Formats: sequence, structure tokens, C-alpha cells
Amino acid sequence: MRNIIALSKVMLLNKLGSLLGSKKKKKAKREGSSTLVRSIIMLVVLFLLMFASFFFIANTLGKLAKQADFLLELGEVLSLAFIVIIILFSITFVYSTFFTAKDNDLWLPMPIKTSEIFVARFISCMATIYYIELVSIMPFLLGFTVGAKLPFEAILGQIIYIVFLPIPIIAVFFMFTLLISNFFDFQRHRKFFDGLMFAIIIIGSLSFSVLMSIGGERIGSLTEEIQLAEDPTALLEGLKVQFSTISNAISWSLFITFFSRYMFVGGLWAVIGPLLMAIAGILLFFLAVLFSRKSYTRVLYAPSAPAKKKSVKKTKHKALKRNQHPVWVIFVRDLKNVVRSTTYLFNVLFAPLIALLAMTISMVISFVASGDPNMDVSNAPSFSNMALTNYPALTFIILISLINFLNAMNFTSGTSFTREGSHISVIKSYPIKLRHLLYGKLILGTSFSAVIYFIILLTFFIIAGGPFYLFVIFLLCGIVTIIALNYISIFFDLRFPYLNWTTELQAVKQNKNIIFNMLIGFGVLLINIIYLLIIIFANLPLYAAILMVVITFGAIIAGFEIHINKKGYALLDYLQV
Amino acid sequence: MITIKNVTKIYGKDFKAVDNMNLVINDNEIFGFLGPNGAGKTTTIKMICGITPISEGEIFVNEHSIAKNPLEAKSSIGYVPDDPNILMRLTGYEYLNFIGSIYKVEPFLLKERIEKYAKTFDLYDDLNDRIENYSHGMKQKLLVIGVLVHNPKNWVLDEPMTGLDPRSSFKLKEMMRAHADEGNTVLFSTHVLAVAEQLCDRIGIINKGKLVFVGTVQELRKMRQSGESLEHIFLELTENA
Repeated sequence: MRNIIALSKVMLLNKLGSLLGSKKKKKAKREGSSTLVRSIIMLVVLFLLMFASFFFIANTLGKLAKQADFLLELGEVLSLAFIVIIILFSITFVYSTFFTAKDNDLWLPMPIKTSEIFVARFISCMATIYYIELVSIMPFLLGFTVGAKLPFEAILGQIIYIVFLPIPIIAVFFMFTLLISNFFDFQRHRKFFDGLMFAIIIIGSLSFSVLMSIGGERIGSLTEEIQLAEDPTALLEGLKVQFSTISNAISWSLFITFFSRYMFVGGLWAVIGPLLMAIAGILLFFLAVLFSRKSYTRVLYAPSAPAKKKSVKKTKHKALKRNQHPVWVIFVRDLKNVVRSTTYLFNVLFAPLIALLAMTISMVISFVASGDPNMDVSNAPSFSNMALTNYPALTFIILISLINFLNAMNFTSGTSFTREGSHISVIKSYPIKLRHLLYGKLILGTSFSAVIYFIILLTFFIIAGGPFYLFVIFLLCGIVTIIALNYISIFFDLRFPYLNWTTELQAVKQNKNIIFNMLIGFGVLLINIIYLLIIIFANLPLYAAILMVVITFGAIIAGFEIHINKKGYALLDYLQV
Repeated sequence: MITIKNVTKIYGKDFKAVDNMNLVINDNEIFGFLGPNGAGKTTTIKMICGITPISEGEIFVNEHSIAKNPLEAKSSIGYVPDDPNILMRLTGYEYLNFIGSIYKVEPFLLKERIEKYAKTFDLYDDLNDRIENYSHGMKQKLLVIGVLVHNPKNWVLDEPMTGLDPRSSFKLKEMMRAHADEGNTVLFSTHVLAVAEQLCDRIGIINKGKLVFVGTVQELRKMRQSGESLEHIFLELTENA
């Protein structure tokens, strides 16, 4: 037991340290505790923001459900949604914590039993899921409970649910993955399985976002429909069927849903249900411990590096024909670094593509689900043409907003320096101009967003049949906004880099700059909304809208250029490993 | 030539990692930096290379101030960090091409040097493999080749022998000697006293941010006037300073 406590403590501290971006003790002593305090404040602010938004949505939903008396039906849908969230996270956590962790070599020489390592990792995995629950499920449950004025037993049931939900899910996924590991060597084919994991997460997230958009579509018009509908539960039936698509794929989760749905209502089952789930979870946990004793040792002893080294092509080197410009060299090096890493590729570069795909699918489904004859896809050309001809200024701002939003999902610039990690020291020793370094990094994020914008714009103009000159103007203005936003992201990452990571996943997932990147995007969306209002109320023409955008974003770019000139090389002083 | 003038490095409010250091490392010289862990060796090296800003004082590399003319100063430095885990996603050859472009090495010369040094360090056949698949020693060799291909006047090597096999280590030591004999400067840090004794023209012992000794190994022995081993002298110096 002492071993388990000690191991869990170390694993959790390691995780917490990475999360807070805390530095080594010596470094903390050197730089004071300001960085840690800043990190904590930032995390608290973010938590409060997320908490507030989830709370208010759930609060409204709770009131509506209580009013229409369909707490049980909605409870089932929500339970399912929660389980899907936890399952999506658990898949990766179980895979990375139990099967591809790089710290095996650290524990194996110690006098620790396999089952002790397993239990410590189980606890560490649970702690991570508690963190997910804390920011997503807990505020939702709290908001719902307050909105629906649920009784005490429901609250008690919810507490048991929150505490014990991760146990059966982790245990089942562990046993399932352990079973698969008999047939596939995760360590040897790590790249393939990493890719597969990402694919599962992305497909899962897309499915979830599609289902949520259907749900959102329904819930959005719920108030109105409840008043009109004779039988409001029929509405929820439809919603439930759509959510059940996921549940069919993961049929055993329905089992947990059965235990948890009453905590959205109250009564004795509100406590008994989660309690039964907890008992089942504990039994599954012991079963998993038994499994771990039998065959987890084999996984621990698997080499942490690929066992079979790929045969390398014999020396046929591509020699440089001429010296390349430093900006190009930095750009190419950065591009290779991103595209050759599954983690960076999916989390950093492809995020806006995934968002665009999710948005498009959701939009199409929403149109179809709405049943409105005006919302037919065949009406798109005339609708787009009408928008471009009659409301060019508004159309312009909306298109700019769209790319600004997608750019907020592009984390390439926001992790420019973070991705270098400890290598930043070597980069700083190169005789390269600061401007060249920054431009090299700026090009990557900017060009990717610009390509996405180009595709969106081209599609829109082909559908709407707009003039070419307008296409060029829209494109150039959009690129100006993209450059400005990428400048902000790069400078924020330069000012607050997270360099002390050990895995690329940490560099992305535990990097607060990514959240800042998204906040910038949303902040800019607010500015765009103000522009929209100005255009509507002042009835401004297109050229005024273009001027507003170019002046605002041009000023941001100019501001950073002046800053670079003024500060020069001293800007790199923030990059200390 | 590297000149360190009244250099102090302060972290946070008052933690002095390097305290008022004065040192001149001449051309034709191999200078070894010795000291216990956390003494300030790497911080000094990082300040020389322009990686860490200097709190007080100035450092000149070939008469270019690293703070005021960083590009000119850095152009004549070849730096090998203590951590060889760099640019893991690139292949060895891509890394060396990258270095060639950054340091503006003529392509034909770059190709020639890559071949020469990669063969010298027995890395030629692995250059098309990604760095992430290299062993620690191979990464270290690649970093050393990265310095050699742009042929800088000043070599600044932070524990360069770590992870090298005996043959490569021997070759590197030979190259360091040859480079210094051609009128250049070699500064390196090490924990291995025997290497310092065998290779260095002068050594500097640093402890708690202060240079406690600068001179030749013979001078050090003479100063102590005892038949003690270098190891004993080193331990005494770094214990009581």
C-alpha cells in the first residue's frame, strides 16, 4: 500500500507540475514564484469562465425540463452524453498511461509489484478524468440541479456518480486494451496506434459535435415548441434516439445510463442507481487488478523504443544547390517538425480543418433537421448571390469572421516557440536575425489558415458568382487579418512559452497558450460583431467595411513591427529553458 | 578569442549564477571549464553563445559584443549543447543542410564537409535516418558535425564527450587540438578531470558562480605545492570556496 501511495503521489505531482508549467526547484528559486502564481490565476479564470457557461446552459435546461416534466428522459440523454465525454477521454488516457508510458524503465528496477504500478497508474488516470469532470460535468450537474430544484437524494446520487464514474470506464478499457495487446505490440507499432487513437478521438468528437448540433437545434427551439406541442416528451424522444446512436456503438454504457438517469429526478433510485454503479465499478476494478497480475508485466517489459529499426535508405543525400534564405529555412524546418509528428499534425495544424468539417456537417444536418423548405441546398447559389449583391459589407465581415474563428483553432503560431522545447537554446545560438526567425514561424500558421480561407472564399464565389476583383479584395483583407492574429499568437508564445515539456502531447495539451489562442479568436469575433452592428445601423458601404478591417488589423501588424524594431534581440530573452 | 568582462548573471531577485567573472580565452588555446554541478559552467557558456542574457558586464567574441552585435558574434561560434535531443523529426542530413543554410556555408563545401566529418565519426550511413531514431552518442556526434561543417573560429562545447564512444572521443580531442593549433579558440566544459589535464592549455575552475582558479594544470599543482592528485585539489577548491 505504501508503494502505491508513493507511486501515485509521484505520478500525480508530475502531472500537476506539467499542468501548472512549474519549473524545476532551482529555477523556481531563481525566478521567484510569479510564474506559478500567474499559471494558477490563469487556470482559475479559465475554469470560472467554463464553469459559468456550462452552469447557465444547464440551469436553463433544468428549468425547462422541470416545467415540461421530462426530467427522466432528459436525464437519460444527459447521462449518455457525460459517458460519451468520459469514454472519449478515457480511450486516450488508458492507452497513454498504461500502455505507451515512457516511465516504465523508471519503475521496473524498483522493488514494486506490477499490480502496484497498475493501481498507481489507475489513480493517476482517475485524477485526470476528475479534472475533466470538474470543468465539464460538475458545473453542468450543478446548474441543472439548481435549475430543476432537485431534491437532496439527487445531489447525493450525483456526488457518488462523479466520484465512481471513472472506475468502471477505466477498468473496462484497460482490460479491453490489455486483451488487444496480446495480438498487437503497441510499442513496436506505436506510430500506427497513435494515429489510430487520434482518428478515434476525431471521429468520436465529430460524431459528438454532430449529435450535439442536432440536440442544440432542438433544444434551441425547445421553449417555443414546448408551448406549442401537446406532448413535449415526444420532442425528447427524438433527441434521445439521436443520442442513442452513440450508445448503440458502446452498448454497455447504457448499463451505466440506467443507473444514473434517476439522479436527474430524485427519489430512492437517485442514490441506489449510482451506488450500484459504484459497486459494479469496484468489482470491475478488482477484476482489472487480477488481469494486471496475469499479463500486465508483459506490457511493462515491452521496450520503450521501436524494437525493429526501419532500414534506412543508403546514403543518397540531397545536397543543397544554393544557400536558402533563413526565413525559408526556418519555415521548412518547422513544417517538417509539424507534419512528421502525429501529435502536432492533428492537434496543431489540422484543428481548423476538423472544426470546418464539423461545422459543415452540423450545418447540413441542421438544415435537413429543420425541415424548412427555404433551407434547401439548391437555394444556396441564389441565396449567396443575393447576400453578395445586396449586402456585400455584411457578407465581407461574416467571411472574415469565419476565417478568424477557424484561425483561432489553428495553434501553429500559438505554439511556435513552445514546440522547440529545450532546443530553443540551440536556436538562440544561431546567427539569425530576429525578424527572419519570427517571419519563418509566422509563415507556417498564416499560410495554412490562408489556404483554408482561399478554399472557403473560392467555393463561396463560385456558388454566388461574384466578380473576380471582389474575390481578390476579400482574399487580401482576410490574409491581413490572419497575419495580424498569427502575430498576436506568436508574440504571446514568445512572451509566455512552455518549454519544459517532455512529450509533444504535453507541449500541446498542457499549453495555456492554446486557450489564449482561442480567446484571441473569440475576442476578434466580438470586434467583428461590433463592425456588423456599425454596418447595419450606419448602413455603411463595402469600402467602409474594408477600410475598418484593414485599418484595425493593419494597425496590429504595424504595432508588432514597431515593437520588433524597438526591442530587437531582447525579445528572445523570454525564451529560457 | 573570447573575452568575458565583469560578467554577472542574476536570476530572479538575487540569485547569482555567475558572479563578476573576468576571463580571456585566447586564440591557439583549448580552455577547459571545470566545476561541480550547478556551479555556473553552462550559464557562462550560454551567455557566451547569446542564449542567456547577461545581467551585468560584457562578453566579446572576436571583439564583437554578444549583446550589441549578436549576429556577428554568433557567426563565429560553433555551439554544442549539453542536451543532444534536438530537432528530432529531421533526418541527420536535413539537420546539417539546415545548419549550412543558417551559417551560409557554400553548398559544394557543405557537401564535402558533411561527407568528410560524417565518415570520420562513422555516421555517414545513418544520415538519412531521423534524429529521433539515433542513440545518445549518435546525436552527440551529429551536433559535433553540425559545428564542424560551418567551421567557426570559436568552438564552445558543453560536455562534448558525453555519450561518445572511445574512438569518436579520441577523434574529437584530436580535432580540438588541431583547431586550436590553427589559431582558433576552443572552450569546453567537462566533469572528467583526466580529459582536462590531457587536453587543455588552461583550465578554469568555477564554483558557486565564481572563478576560483584560472591557469594551467601545472600552475594549479604548483600553487597547492603538494603531491596531491588533480582530483583532490579540485575537491578542495570547490569545497572551501
